[in-house]
Amino acid sequence: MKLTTLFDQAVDLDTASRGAFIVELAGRDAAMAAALTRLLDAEKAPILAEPNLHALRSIATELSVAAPKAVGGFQLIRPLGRGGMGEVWLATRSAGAAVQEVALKILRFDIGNEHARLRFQLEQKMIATMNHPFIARMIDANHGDGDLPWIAMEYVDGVNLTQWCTNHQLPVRARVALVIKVLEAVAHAHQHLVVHRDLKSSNVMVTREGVPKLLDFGIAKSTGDTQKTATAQRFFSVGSVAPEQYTGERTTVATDIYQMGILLYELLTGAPAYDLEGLAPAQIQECILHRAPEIPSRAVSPSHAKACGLDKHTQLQRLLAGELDRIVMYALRKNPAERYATAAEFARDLQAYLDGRPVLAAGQSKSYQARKFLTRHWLPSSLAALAVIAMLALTLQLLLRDSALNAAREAALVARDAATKERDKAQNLNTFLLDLFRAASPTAINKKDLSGIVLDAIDLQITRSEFIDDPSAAFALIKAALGLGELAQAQRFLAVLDQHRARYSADDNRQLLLLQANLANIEADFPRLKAINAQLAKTIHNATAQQKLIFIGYVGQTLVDTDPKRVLAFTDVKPLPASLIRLRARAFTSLKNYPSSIEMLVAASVRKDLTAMEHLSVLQSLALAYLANKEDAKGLLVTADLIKSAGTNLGEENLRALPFWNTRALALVRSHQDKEAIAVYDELLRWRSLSENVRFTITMNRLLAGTNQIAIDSLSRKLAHDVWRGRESLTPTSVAYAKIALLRVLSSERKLNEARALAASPDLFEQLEEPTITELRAWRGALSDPPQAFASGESWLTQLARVNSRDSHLHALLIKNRPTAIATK
Amino acid sequence: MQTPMIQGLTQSIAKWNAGDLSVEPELMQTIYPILRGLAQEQLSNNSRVTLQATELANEAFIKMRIGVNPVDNKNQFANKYHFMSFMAHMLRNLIVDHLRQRGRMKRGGEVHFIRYDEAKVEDVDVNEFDFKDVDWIALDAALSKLEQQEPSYARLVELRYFLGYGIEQSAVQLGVSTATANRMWRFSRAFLSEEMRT
Repeated sequence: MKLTTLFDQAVDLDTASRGAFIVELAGRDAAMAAALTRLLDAEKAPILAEPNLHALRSIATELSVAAPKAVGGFQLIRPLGRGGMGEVWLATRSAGAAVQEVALKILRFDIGNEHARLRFQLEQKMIATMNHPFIARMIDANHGDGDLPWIAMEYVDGVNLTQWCTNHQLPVRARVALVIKVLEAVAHAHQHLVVHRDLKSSNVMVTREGVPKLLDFGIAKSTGDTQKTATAQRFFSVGSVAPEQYTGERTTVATDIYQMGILLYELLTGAPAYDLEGLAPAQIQECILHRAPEIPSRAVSPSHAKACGLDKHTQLQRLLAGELDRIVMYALRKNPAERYATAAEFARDLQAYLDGRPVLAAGQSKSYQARKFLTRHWLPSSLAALAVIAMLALTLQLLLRDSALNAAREAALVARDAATKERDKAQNLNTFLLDLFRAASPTAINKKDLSGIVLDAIDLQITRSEFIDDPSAAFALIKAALGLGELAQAQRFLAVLDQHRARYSADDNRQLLLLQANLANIEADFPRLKAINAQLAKTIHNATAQQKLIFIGYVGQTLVDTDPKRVLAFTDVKPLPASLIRLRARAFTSLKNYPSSIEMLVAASVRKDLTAMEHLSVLQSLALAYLANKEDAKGLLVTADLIKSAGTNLGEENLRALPFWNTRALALVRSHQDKEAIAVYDELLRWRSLSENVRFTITMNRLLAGTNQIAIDSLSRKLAHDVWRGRESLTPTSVAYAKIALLRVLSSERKLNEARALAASPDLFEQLEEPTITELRAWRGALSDPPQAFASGESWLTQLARVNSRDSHLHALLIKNRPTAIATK
Repeated sequence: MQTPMIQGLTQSIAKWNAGDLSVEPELMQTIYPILRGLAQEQLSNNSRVTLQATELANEAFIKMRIGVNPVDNKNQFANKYHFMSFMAHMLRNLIVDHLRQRGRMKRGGEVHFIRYDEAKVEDVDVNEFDFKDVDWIALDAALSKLEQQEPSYARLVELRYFLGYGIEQSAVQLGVSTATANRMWRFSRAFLSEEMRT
C-alpha cells in the first residue's frame, strides 16, 4: 500500500487507534511504519506556513524587475550590482551612430512604496546638481509617473577602490593620493548641500586610468533640507556606520568625514576598522558608539604589506605609525564636532602628509615641527639631498664613534654626487642648505630628528621604489642610517635592496655587499661578516682600490681579536693604507705590543698623504698607545700636537675635535696635571650644543680629575655627592666612577667609616673594565680593618701600577696603611 | 487560429501534466521570456497595482492564447488548467534559481544591512525582509522529493505556493475533488515539514 493511502487512513484516527494501526503496519513493513510515524508527527506541527501571498508578491516583483529587457529606451545588458534601494544594470542606448553605455539604476522597491519613490527622485535631483570629474555623471533620468523610476549614470568601467588598490599593489602614498581625490569629490557634493552618507569602497569605482568616481547617492540627503529626512534611513553598511547615524541623530558632513576615515583605515590596514562579524547588537552598539578602533599601524592585516607592495609587515606598520595613524583617528572621532570640519580640510591634511608638512591631526610639538621642516625642504629636491642634510647636521653633532662620522661623510659624498647629476636638483639642494642653516641652529636638531629624517627617507625610497633604477641614493641613506646607529632600518632597507640584486650592476652589488659587511661589522656579528667577506672575495678583484681597502678592513675585523698576528701579516704593506692604520694598531694592542704600535703610528704621523682627519686620528691613537705603554710624558707631548692640529684644521668649538680634547685631558691627568685637565674639561663644558650624553661624560671626567687632587675643590665635592645620589639612572661604569669619586672625597675628609661602608657596597664587577675593578677592590682592601692585601700577595700599589691607576687619595691611604697591609700578608 | 509553435506547446504542456517531464526544458525555454516580459509590462503599465503571480500567469496564458478554441470551450479550459500548473512549476524554478543566484551574489558581495528599528517597516528592504518567511530553497529540495513519489501532490503544492491558489481553486485546476485536494495538501504539508526539518 502506498504511503499516501496509509497516511490518509491513519491521520483521522484517535491516538489509541493510531498506535494500533502503526504496530500492525510495523509487523508487515517496519520501514513504512517508521516513515508513517514521522509523517504523522510532522503533521501535528507543520513548520511550513500557509502560502504567503505577500511573500509571493515581493518575489514576483523582484523577478520582474531583475530581468526586464529594456527600461526607458535602454537595453539592459547585465546586472552590475545591487544598491541600497535598487539594482544597477549595465545598459546601452543608441545615440545616433554611437552606442551609449550607462549604468542604469532602477528602483527595486515595491512600486506602491511612495516613500521609496520620493527618495529615489530626491537622489535624481541631487546627482543632477553635481558636476565633478570624480563623481559619476548623471546622463538621464525619468521623471514621469507610472513608470519604473530609473537614473542613467556614467558607466565606470573599472573596479571598486579597495579592489583597485589591491590589484595594483598600490603603495601607501598612492592610496592616500586616491583618497584625497575622493575627498575632493565629497567636498564638491558638500558644496552642493549633499551628504552622501554611504561612502564605502563599493561606492567608489576606479577607471582603468586610475580615476576614482564616486557613485550612489542612494541614501544621500540634502543638507539644506532636514525635513525630508526626518525618518532617516536606518540601515547602512554596518562597518561604516557613524555613531550619529547609529543613534539616529542628525547626519552632517561630519558623517561623510567619518566614513571616509573608515575607508582610509581599510585601505591602509587591509582590515576593517570595526570587525562586527558575529557580535550581538549590544556589542555592535558599544563598538560604534564608544570604542575607538585599534590605531591603523597596529591593525595592519598580515597580508596587507604585500598588497601595498611592501615585503614586510613591519615596513607597513612603520609607514602608518605617526601621522597617518593620527589623521585616520582624527577623522574617526566619536563626536562629529571633533572631526575634520570639512572634507577639504581632511584632504589638505593628507596632502600635508604627502608633502611632508606638519599635519593638523598631529601634535604641534617643537621637535615634530622641526623634523617636518627638514623633511619638507628636502622633499622637493633629490632624495639624495636628504643624506647630505643628515650628514651636515651630523657634523654639528658630537658623535664619539669615528665610524659614524666616516659613514656619514661617505654618505654625504655619494649623495652630493647623486644630487649634482642634475643641475636643478643641485639648485634645490643649495636653496635647501641655506634654509637649513638659517632655520636649524645646532641645538634645534638632535640625533633623534636626524634619524627620523633618514628613516622617513628610507620609507619613501621603498614606497616609491626609487632604488630600483638607481640605488646610489639608497646606498647613501643606508650609510647615513648606519652612521646614526639606526641599524634595524638599515638592515630592513638592505634586505629590500637584496631582493633586487639581479637588476643591479656588478658594481652596485659589490657596494651592497660592502654595506651589508659594514652592518655586520657594527653589530660585531663576525660569523655573518665572514660569510659576506667570502662573497665579496669573489668580486673584489674588479673593485676600486678604496673598496678593496674597505674589504681588507672587514677581513681584518673578523681576525683582529682572535688572530692579530695574521692581521699584522696581511697589513704589513708599505706604505700602509690610511684606512688600515687603526686596524694594524689594534692588532698590536691586542698583542700588548705597544712599542710596535707606537713605531707604526709614529711613521704614520709624518705621512703627507693622509687627510687632516686621518692625521688627527693617527695622533690620537699614538697618544693613547704611549699612555698604554706608560710613556705618559710622550703621550702628553703628542696630545699637545693633536689639539694644536685640531684647532688649525677644525676651528674652534668643533664637536669633531672633542674626542681629541678628551684624550688631551686624559694625558694631563696621567701626568699629574689635574688642574690643567680640569681647565680643559671646564672649557669643554662651556661649549654649546653638547648632547646630554656627551655633557655627562665630560662632567664625569671633570669629577674624576677634580677629586684626584689632594686638595679637592668645593665644586668637585658637591658634584661627587650629587652624582652618587643620581646613580640610579647611570650605567654601571658611571656608577663605579661616581663611587670612586665619592670615596676620594670621604677619604680626604677623613670620614673613613662612611668611606668603608661605601667601599663595601656591592659592585657590578662583571660589567666593569679591569682598571676600575682593581681600583674598587683596592679601596675596599685599604679601608677594611685591618687593611687587606691583594690576594696574590702583591701589594695593592703594585697592582694599581699595573693598571695605570694614579689615584692620589687611594695611594695616600695605601701608603699610610702599608705596615698593616704588609703585616697581614 | 493557432500557430504550429503554440500547438506544439499545448501538446507539450499536456504531456507534462500527464507526468512526462522530458518536455520540461523545451517548455521552459519557450515560456520563460514571455513570462518575464509580461511581468515587466504589467509593472510598467500600472505602478499602483500590486503585481500578483496569479495575474501574471493569467496574463501569460491570455497573451499566448494557448488552446483558444472557439469551438471547443471544454478543451480550452483543460488547456488553460494545464498551462497554469506548468506556470506554477515554472515560477518555482525561476524563484529558486533567482534566490540561489542572489545567494551567491550575497556571499561574494560586501553589503550587509542591519535594521535598527524593526518597527519602521517602510524603511526596511522588503526583499531582505520577506524572504525570511519561507526558506524557498529548502522547500524546493523537499518538493523535488515529493515530486519523485507523488507528482500530482507536487503540482498541488506548486499551485498553492507559487500561484497563491486556494484548495478549491487547486482542486479544479488538478481535476480532483476538494476533499481529495484537502487530503493531498495535508499529506504534502506533513511530508515537506518532515523533509525540511531534517
